[in-house]
Parts: sequence; structure tokens; C-alpha cells
Amino acid sequence: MARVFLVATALWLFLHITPATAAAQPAQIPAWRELTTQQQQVLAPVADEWDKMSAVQRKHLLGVAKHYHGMKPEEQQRVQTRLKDWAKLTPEQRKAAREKYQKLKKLPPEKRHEIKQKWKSKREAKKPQQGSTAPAKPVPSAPLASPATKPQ
Amino acid sequence: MKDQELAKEIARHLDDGLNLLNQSTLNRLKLARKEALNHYHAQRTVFGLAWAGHSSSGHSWQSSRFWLPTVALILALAGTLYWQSTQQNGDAVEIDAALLAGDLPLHAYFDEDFNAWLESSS
Repeated sequence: MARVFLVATALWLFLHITPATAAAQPAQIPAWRELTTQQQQVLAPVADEWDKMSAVQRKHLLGVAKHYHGMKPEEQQRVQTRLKDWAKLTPEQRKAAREKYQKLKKLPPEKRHEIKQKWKSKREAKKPQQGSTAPAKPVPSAPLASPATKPQ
Repeated sequence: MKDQELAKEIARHLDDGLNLLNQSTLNRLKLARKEALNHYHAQRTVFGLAWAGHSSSGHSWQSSRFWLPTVALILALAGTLYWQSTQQNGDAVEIDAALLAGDLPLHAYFDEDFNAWLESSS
């Protein structure tokens, strides 16, 4: 009898502690009104979308909110500006961006610096064409974007 | 090759030697084998008793030697999966925070030129 119980417990644990459930347990992901004031302040740009987001996405954003207070003011400002666009990306687009970021991070510092410089030069070169009144597009014209999810 | 040939030669000599064994030697060997087998069976029974409180007779799935490792394996697998997934989740969160706070805008990571530079540098 004891062994049946043990095997059953082990199976229950196995079925309930799968990667999917560990990554996102809906019961542990709070709704917007359940967030702390601090979390709501950080995640304010995505307040409207919060309750419609997947559990995984909310869990990731809560993680970002946790890191937020350790950031420099200019970094915090960037997070605030980019959060909305980030949340609008599809999971595949976010995954692709993460992979690119990691690739860039793994490069030697001089190579990384070189790419950033090239990017800055390209952006600077484009500025006059966009006109001084047109705001810089903060969201990607991502190759993976689908019409329904493409950020505006 | 020389070693193999030597081994074959030794085996042949040993086989030939078997025919020369007298009856009393054969009896002694038979007895020794029987004793060794009895000793082996006794050890298995004691081991089974220590684990399950009964002899090892019966179906293999009833034996604790089957289900205890099975439970341990299931738990270890569940633990590994859980650890891996929380680890991946933690990594993704750190990357997200760094991406959002980084000096490159999000759309840089979707820019064709940027990706080409990245690919050529990796």
C-alpha cells in the first residue's frame, strides 16, 4: 500500500512539475489589480494589456520589474519607453530578439562596439530623411511580425 | 595478434587437460561449484529481505528493487525538468531586462543590416 502511495505521489509530482507548469502557473501570476503599487508603477506602460497577456509573458515582465530598481535612471527610462512595444511583439519575435542579444553579448568587446557604432552611423544617416518632426520608430519592422500583432 | 595466438594455445592446452582430470578432482570441482551457487543464492535472499521485508521471489514489479529506483528516477527526472525550466525562465528574464534597458533600441535587433553585421562577426 505504501509503495502504491509512493509511486502515485512521484507520478503526481512528475505530471505537475513539468517545464510548462514551472514556467507559468496561472495561480501564481497576479492580475493587474493584484500587483503591488511598485510593480504597477514600473509596468504602467502595459497596464491595459496586462490581463490579456499570457502567464509566461506576465511572469517575465514581473521579473523585469524586479530588476528595474537596480537599474540606473537612464536604463529605467529606456525600459519605460520600450515596455509597450516589447509586450506587443509575438513570443517568436521576443525569442529572436533574445537570441540576437545573446549573440551580440558573446562577441568580443571591440566587435560589439564596432557593430554598435555601425548601427549608430546608420541611424544618424537615416535621420535627415525621416524629417525632424517625425518620431523615430521605436518598434521593429520585424520580419516575423504578423498583421495582428505587428506593433504600430 | 601474438597475444591472441598465445591465448588460443593456452585455451587448447586447458581443454586437452580437462580430459586428463581424474574422477576425484572432478568431484571436488563439482562440490565447489555447488557451494558457490548456494552461497550466491543465500546472498540474494538476504539482500531482498533487507530491502522489502520478504524474499525476492514473486513478480519483479512487486519487488522494492524495482519500484524504489523507479520512484527515485521519476522524482529525479521531475526535479531536473523543474530546475531546467526555472533556470531557462530566469535566464529569459535577465535577458529581457538587459534588452529593455540596453543602449540599442529594440528595432535594432530586427534590422537586416544589424543582423548581417552580427552574423559576419560571429
